[in-house]
Amino acid sequence: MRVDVRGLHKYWVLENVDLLVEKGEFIAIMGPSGSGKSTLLFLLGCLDYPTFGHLYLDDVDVTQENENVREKIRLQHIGFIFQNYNLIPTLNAIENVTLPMQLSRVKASEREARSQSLLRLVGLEGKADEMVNNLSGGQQQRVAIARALANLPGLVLADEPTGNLDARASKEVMDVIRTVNENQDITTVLVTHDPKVASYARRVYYLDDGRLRATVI
Amino acid sequence: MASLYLATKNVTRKKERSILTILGVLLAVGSFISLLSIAEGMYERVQRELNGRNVDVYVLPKNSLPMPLGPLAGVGQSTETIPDTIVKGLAGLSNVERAEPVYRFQQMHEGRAIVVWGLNPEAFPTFLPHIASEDGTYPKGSYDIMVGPALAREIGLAREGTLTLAGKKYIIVGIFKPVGGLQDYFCFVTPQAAAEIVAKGAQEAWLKLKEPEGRDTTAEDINVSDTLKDFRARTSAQYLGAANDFINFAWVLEFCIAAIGVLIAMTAAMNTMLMSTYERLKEFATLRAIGASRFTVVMMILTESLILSVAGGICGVVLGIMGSRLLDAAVVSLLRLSYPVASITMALLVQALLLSAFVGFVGAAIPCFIVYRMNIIMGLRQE
Repeated sequence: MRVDVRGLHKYWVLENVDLLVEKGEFIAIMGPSGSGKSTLLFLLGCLDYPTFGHLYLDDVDVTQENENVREKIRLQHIGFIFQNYNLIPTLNAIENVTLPMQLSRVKASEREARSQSLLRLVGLEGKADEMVNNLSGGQQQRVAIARALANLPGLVLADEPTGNLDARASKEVMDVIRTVNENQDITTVLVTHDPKVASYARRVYYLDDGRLRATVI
Repeated sequence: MASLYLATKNVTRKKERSILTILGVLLAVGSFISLLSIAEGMYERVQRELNGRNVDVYVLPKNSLPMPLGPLAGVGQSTETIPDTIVKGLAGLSNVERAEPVYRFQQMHEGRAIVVWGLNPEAFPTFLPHIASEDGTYPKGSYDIMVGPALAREIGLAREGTLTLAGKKYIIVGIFKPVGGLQDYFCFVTPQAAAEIVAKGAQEAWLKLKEPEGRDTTAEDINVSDTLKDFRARTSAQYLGAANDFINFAWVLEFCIAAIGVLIAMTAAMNTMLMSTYERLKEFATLRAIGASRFTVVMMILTESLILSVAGGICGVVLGIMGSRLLDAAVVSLLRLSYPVASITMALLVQALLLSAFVGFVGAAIPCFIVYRMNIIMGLRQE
C-alpha cells in the first residue's frame, strides 16, 4: 500500500507533515517523547482525523471518508502492532490471531489454516492454545504481529513494538517484522525512539516538536 | 457473530465476574417468583373456584368484608351472617328460582384448619355442578361429611371412614372428583350440621334467578337494598371483581417488595458491567483499532450482559420454585391452612425471564453508551 501524507496538521501536535511511503517500503519514525510520533501513526491508521491536510492510502483520500469506511479500511488493509501488545486477555494465542478474520467474516476453515500458518511464521506454532497472559512479552508481541497480518493488510503500523521487551526479545520481534516486510511486500511504518530498532528500516525520519525535520538515510 | 463469540469467551473465561453477576440476578428473580407465586396462587385458585360456581346473585351482610370468603375462609373470616329467615324470604321473591344459605367455617384437625362448608345437598347440582361424589351421594345427616380429594389424599381419608373435627366425629359419605380449585381441600356438611356450629346463620345466600325474557338478570333485579337494608346483593361478576380487587392489591404489595430485590440486582448488574467496562476500555479500543465496528463492540457488551442476566434468570427460576415451596409451607404453617397458597404459572416464569433480560438491557445501557462514544486513542492510551 502506498502512503501519501500531504500537509497533515493536528492541532498542538503535528505541523504540516509531508511524507511519502512507497508500497512495500519499511520506514521508521524517531523522536523524543511527546514529539507526535504516535499521533502521526494513529492518523496513518485512520484512528483519528487531522485538523487539516490529506492522507492518501493507495490514492484514496481517507481523511474525507466517514467512520464506517475507515473501520473497513482498518479491518481489511491495516495491521496494528502496539507497544503493550494489546491482545485480548480472554482469548488464547490462536483466537487472538483469528479475531480480525472473524470480524471480516473469513470462512472458518481458512481462518484456522491462516492462523496456524501465521503462528508458524512468528515461531509460536506450539503456543496456539496458550492463554496470552501466560506468554512472555516477546511471545505476546509475536502473537500481536501475527494478528496484525491476519487479514493480509497492505500496511503495518508498529508503535514502539519493542518498548517493553529486553534486547533478545526485541531482536526476535524486529527480525519477524523485517522478514514480513521483505517477504510479503507489506508497507511498514514503525515508530520508535530506539536507534537500534530504527536501523531495521530502509529509511528513518525524525519528528521533533510536531515537525518532520530531518531524514536520516 | 463476532459479538456473540467474544461475549461468550468473556463470560466463560471471567468466571468470578460472571458468577457474581449471575448471583445478583438469580436472587432477584428467585425472590420475584417466590413472592408473586402467592398472589398468582390466590388468583388462580379464586378464579377456578368462582368460575366453577353457578351462582347468579350473592346476598351478603352489608358489613361483611368486600371479598369472597370462600377461598380465604379462616383468613379474616367475617362474623357477619345472614339468618335463615332472610334466605327464606329471598327464596320467596318472584324472580328467584332458588335461594340457599351457604355456611363456611373452620374446624381444627390435627393442628390444621379445615375449611368446612354447609350447603343443602339438593343445591349441589344447581350451584356447584362440578362437585359430585363418585356415586352421587351427598351429606344428608348431621354427621355426614363429603371431603375434597386433595384433602383426603393429604390427611389419608377414605370413603366410609371418619373425620373428627373439633371433637365431633363425622362419617365420610363421599370424596368428590377433583375440580382443580381450592374446593379440592374443602369439606361439605349439611346446613343443619353447620348451623350447630355457626348458630347466628350463614355467611352468604346464593341465588339462582329466573331469566327474564330478552336479557340477563342482574343484582338490581333482587333489589335487596330496599327490602333488606342490612344486606347487599352482588352479581357473580361483581363478586369476582371484588375478589380480583383484593388479589390485585396483594399482587401490587408483593410486587413492590419483589421490586426492591430487582432494583438491587439491576444496580449490581449495572455496577459490575460499568466497572468491567472501565477496566476494559483499552480492550474495546483495541477491537475498534483492529477494525471492529462500533456496532460489533456495543453488541458484544449487550450480548454479554444478556447472557449473564438470562443465565441468572434461568437459575433464578429454579431458586424461585424452591423459594415458593418454602414460602408456601411457611404461610400454610403460620396460618394453619389446609390448602396451598402459592402457585407458579407459566406466565409468572415468562415474566421472570423477561425481567432478567430487562436487567441485562439496563445493565448494559450505560457501558454501551460509553463505548459508543469512546475515543479510540484515549482508550488505547489507558494504562
